[in-house]
Parts: sequence; C-alpha cells; structure tokens
Amino acid sequence: MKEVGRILFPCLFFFTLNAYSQISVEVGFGVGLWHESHIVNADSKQNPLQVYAELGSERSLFSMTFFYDFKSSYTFENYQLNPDFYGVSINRQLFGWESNPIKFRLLASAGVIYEIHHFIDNGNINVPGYEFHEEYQEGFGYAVGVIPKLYFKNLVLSTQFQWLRSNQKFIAGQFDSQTFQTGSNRLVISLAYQFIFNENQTSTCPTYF
Amino acid sequence: MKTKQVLVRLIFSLLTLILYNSCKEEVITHDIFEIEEANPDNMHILEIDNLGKVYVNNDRVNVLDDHAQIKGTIFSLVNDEFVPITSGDFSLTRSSTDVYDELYGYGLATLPEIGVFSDILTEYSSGANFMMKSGAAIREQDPLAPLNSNQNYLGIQLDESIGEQLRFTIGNTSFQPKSLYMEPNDPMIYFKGDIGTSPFQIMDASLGLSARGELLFTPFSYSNELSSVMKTPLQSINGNIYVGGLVPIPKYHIEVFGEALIGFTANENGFNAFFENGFEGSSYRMGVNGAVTLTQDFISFLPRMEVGRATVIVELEEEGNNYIQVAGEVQIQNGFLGELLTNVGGGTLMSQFSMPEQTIESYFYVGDNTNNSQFFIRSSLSMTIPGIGEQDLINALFGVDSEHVYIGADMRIPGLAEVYVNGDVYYDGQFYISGGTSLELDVEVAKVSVSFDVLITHNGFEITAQASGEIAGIGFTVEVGIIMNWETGDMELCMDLPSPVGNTCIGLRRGKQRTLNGELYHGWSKEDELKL
Repeated sequence: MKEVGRILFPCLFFFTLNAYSQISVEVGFGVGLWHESHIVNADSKQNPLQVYAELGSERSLFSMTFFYDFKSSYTFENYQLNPDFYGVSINRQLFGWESNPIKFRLLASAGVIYEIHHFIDNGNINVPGYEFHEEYQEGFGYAVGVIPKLYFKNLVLSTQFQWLRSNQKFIAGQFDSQTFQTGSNRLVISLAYQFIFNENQTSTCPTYF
Repeated sequence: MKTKQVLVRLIFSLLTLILYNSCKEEVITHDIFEIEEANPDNMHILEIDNLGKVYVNNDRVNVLDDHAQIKGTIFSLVNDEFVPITSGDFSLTRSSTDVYDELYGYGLATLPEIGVFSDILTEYSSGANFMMKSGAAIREQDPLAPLNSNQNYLGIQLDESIGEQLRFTIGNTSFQPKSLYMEPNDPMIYFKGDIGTSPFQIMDASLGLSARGELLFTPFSYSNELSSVMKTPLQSINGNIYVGGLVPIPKYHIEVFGEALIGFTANENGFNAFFENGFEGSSYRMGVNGAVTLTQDFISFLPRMEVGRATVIVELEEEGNNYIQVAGEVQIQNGFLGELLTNVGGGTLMSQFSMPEQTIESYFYVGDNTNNSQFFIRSSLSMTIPGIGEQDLINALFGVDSEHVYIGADMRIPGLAEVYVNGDVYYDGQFYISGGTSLELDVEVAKVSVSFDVLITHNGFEITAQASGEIAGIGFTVEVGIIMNWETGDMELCMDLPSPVGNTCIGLRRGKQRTLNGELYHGWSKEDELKL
C-alpha cells in the first residue's frame, strides 16, 4: 500500500498542477458609477470604491475573486449609512470571445460578503456625545452579479453589476432596534491588470509512472 | 445554442433581480433631536418629583413598570400652551408611585421659545447631557445660585466633544454657558459662563430668567452689630431676571462682584406680566449685592481680603408697599501692611501687631410704612495690641428711625483713658444725652482710677465724679454727684465719703408755694427720675 501511495500522490499532484497551469491573477481598482440602497427613500450620497484580486486559470471556466468595497454612503431623513464590506465570490464564465490581442469574457458570480456598517445620526443638531449617535454593526451577507470583461493583452476593463443582500439591526430613533436591509445594487467599473503565470508550461506525470 | 440559451436566461434573471424594486424595504426612523409639534389631544403626562409635570407626544414615550423612556420632544405647559423644552433620548425612573424620581438622558440644549426667551438667539445648537439636580446640590457647587433649595432642576451639561461651544445672544451681548439649569414649568433658566459685550468681558457670569419670577435673591449677611439694629431685617426676594458676575480689575488688584435680581408683578395666571408686556405697567422689586475684594496677585503671600460689601433692596408696588433698604459694610483693613512689613523685614515684632482696621457699617430703610424708616451708620477703629488682644479704639454711630435720633461715640486708649458720648433725642421732645471720661493711673506708689460722667435729659441733669484707688497702701473711694430736675426744681448733692460717714446727700426741694426745703439724708433719691 505504501508503494501505491508513494506513486499515486505525486501523480495526483501533477495532474492538479496541470489543470491549473497558466494561473492568472487579476488585480484591479474600481469606481462605482451607480448604486442604490435597498432602503426605501435612501439617497446615494457617495459612490463606492473597490479593489479586487481575481484568481483564475486560462484553462478553467471558474475563478475566484476577493474584493473590498468601501466609501459608499446612503442618506435618508437625518441618517447616514456607511457600509464597507469584504467579499469572496466564485465566478463562472458564461460566454467568451477572443481575437488576439482582444478578449471578451462574461462571468456570473456568487459569493459571501462580510459587512461593516456605520449608521450615523447626521441631523442638523450637533450631537456627537449621544450614545446612538453612531451605531455600529457587522455581519455576513451574500452577493450575486454579472461581470462583463474586456481584455486587451493584460489590461482588463471590467464592469460589475452586483446585487448585495444583507440585513442589520439599528435603533434609528425608535425604542427597539429594527431590521434594515443594508444591501444595495451597484454598478462598478474597474481597471485591472492580469498576471499570467506558467503560460507555456504543461506538467505531466513523472516518466517512471 | 444550448449554452447561449442558458446564458441569456441567466443574464435576464440577474438583471430582473437587481432591478426588481420589491427587494427594497421601508424602515421607520425618527429624528429624536428635532423639535416636534405638540399634539394636545394625544399627550402623555409624566409627573416628576419636585419638578412638576412634563408632556410628551404619546408615540414618543414608552412606559414600563419602573421606568419610562422618551425619544422625542419634552414639553411643559405654560399658560395653556405646550412649550418645547428639549428633544432627545431620556429615561425616567420611579420606585413605586406614579411620580418619577429621576430624569436623565441626552438632549438638545435650547431655550423655551416663549416670552422674553424668544428674543434670545441660540447659536450652534448642540446636544447636552441632562440630569436632575436639587437646588441645594447646585448651591453646594455654586453658593450664589439664585435657586430654591427644595426645588429640583434639570441640569444641562453641554457635550464636551463639541468644539464649538453653545452660545446665546441678546442684542450685542453673547453668553457662553458652562453650566445650565432649567425649571421647565416656570419656565426658568439659569446658567453660569462668560458674558462678552464690547468692550467688557465678565468672567463666571450668571444669568437667570424666570417667567413666573421664581429666582431667589439672597442678601449678604452682615455683622451681628449691624443686624441687631435693623428694625426690618434684610430678607430674600423672588424675581424674574438675575445677573451676577465677577469683574476683575487687574490694574488695581481688585475684583468687583455684583449680583442683581429684578422681579415684576405677576398676572392672574401667575405668569409674569413683564414677559408679555415688557416694563409697561409693571411694578417691580429689585435686590442688589455688591462686594469688592483685594486680590492675591498684588503680593502672593497675602490672603484675599474683602474690602466691602453692600446690599440694596427696592420694592415698588402699585398697592403701596414701597420701600428701599440699603445695608453696607466697609472694612478698611490695613492688616496687609503689617503682613508686608513682617514678610519683607523678616521681623517677629511686627507679626504681633496689626495695623488699625476701620469698619464702617450702615443701614438705611425708607418705606411707605414710616414706622420702619431707619438710618444707621457706625464707624469703628480697632487694633490688635500684644498682650491685650483686639481693642476698639474709636467707635462712632449715628442713627435715625421713626422714633428718635441717636448718636454715640467713644474713644479709648486701652488701659489708660476713655471718653464717650451718647445721645437719644425723641421726636416727642424727650432726650437723653450722656458723656464722660475715665482715666486710670498705675504708677509705683499709687493706683488711681478717676471718672467723670454727665447725663442731660429733658428732665434735668446729673453730674457725677468718682475717684478710687490706693495711695501708699491706703485705699480710698470718693464720689461726688449733683442731680437737678428741671421741672420740679429739686436738686440733690451727694458725696460718698469714707466710712463711717458713707453716702451723704443734701436735698433741696422746692415746695408748692415755691418754698425751698433742705434736708440731709443718705443715698441718692432722684437718680431714677432722670433715666428714660
């Protein structure tokens, strides 16, 4: 058995490496062009900014994105909601077209987000010392979206339509806390650079196998 | 083809999901710091111990067994009108009864917009911590606060995290409060802070406004000597406007403290007419305290010394209970010169002495009730002498009241001599004037005490001279006196001779038929007739 394992495990390793050879890492920075809170009558005050890193392979339809959205804020009545969130999503390529050096990809994504919310009473009265002047909540939510991407050599222009869903509890001038749908819809356009590793390498099993 | 169909469906589904408005949800929020409109038909009343009733819109209060929570505007009821006092997040606690014991929370520091309060502009609206405090507790920290010890007040502590301080302005004068107290049902506010008005800045100034005139003026206290002569003692009065403050005058190393309270007539609702009509038709009362203190910055080792203080109380009423009452006390303490000489010279002798200290006390009362009218002034000069203690050197007083005029003066050289004169002249023609001198001589061979006294009244006069002492070991006492009665013409001459003769008198009496009878007897007989 030991002999079988000694031969089998290296073989599995090289198979896996082969499948994920031509690994690509895409690093980008984006600006929100449009966003809308899931809270009725909330106005979008400040557009989000986003940084992300996408890990994928030229040989796979799947990729994984780590992203951080920040700086967005929404106002309604005298309150302001500032959500920042970290997320990780799995992307599946739905459509692809290529004419060197231009490529187009359309991805569908779904993932988990971890949100940090600052909910601020921002009325006309200056009340920084009030216990609930700024409420703070954090928790998990989820995100789905479609991502059209246009590649020119290693440069990437990415447009993300995202639907972020989460809820948190805030006092908001009431006697008991109530649930707020703190998610949002957003359109983020990003500029990224794609690094591709082992572009021309193909791994095989050891010759003795 | 199959892939394309899946792709199109997926895109369509996602876009629908994003744009579908039903994912948006409504939330109910409330700006608890925004002053609400009162809804008189739907108000909740909360009664607070020694503070009175406050009112809150029903939907902004949550009442539980042992406490209540307010998230919104608190109103008071003034003249049947709901007046917003503050707005914010407050808790009230109670032990058993329907009356709440405690109120605290965070709210908007503002002034009730009613009457004269409406003329005060609030700049930089800001939040503040609210707590309930008794007048007694406030006076422990601020002894001159014109507040009633038994009353509870809302203490408003401004939010320290606000850089820009709360400021009120009336005309060109701005007030920057450090502490603020409120009685919502009067309504009354009292705050302490800095008052700035060109070109002066008054530090630690106090300002109080009370619609119903419930601010309290407490006159200064004065020496027992002065208090005892006041036929109408100085009493506290209530009023509507209180101003107090300390004005340092560094050039002369003094601080001038002053406080004044003005009160006006209340109308039938108990609400003050002044706050509705201004000065027109208002009768008023006023109390003023003033004091001057020598500061320590002149010479650091000298204590702060109060140079003088005065109180004026005026009451002018349409119904004729008018009076003006003034009391004052000035202490010209030259003691600091002694301290100065002791410290600068380093000598110990000077520390045993104090420089002469002059005190002037006065009291004045004039009113519709002429029986209480009075004027009094007393001046004294004293000095501490080693081995003897504090000695009065000169005392002089003059007084006038509804019954008589009185004067008095005495001058002493401690252990040696004294001269005095006193007089009372009554408006019915009676008078009583006395004067005298005494001298003490204590030398090696003799110890002699001599006194001479004169008493003149509307009845007559009395002159007595007395000498006693010891010369070369032989004691003696000699007294000679003469009494004359103007009305009867009787005269008595007495001498107190050494034993066994004793007190011997010769009396001359004029009979009804103007005859003159003389007799010899022991003991004064007419002395009491001259006394008033």
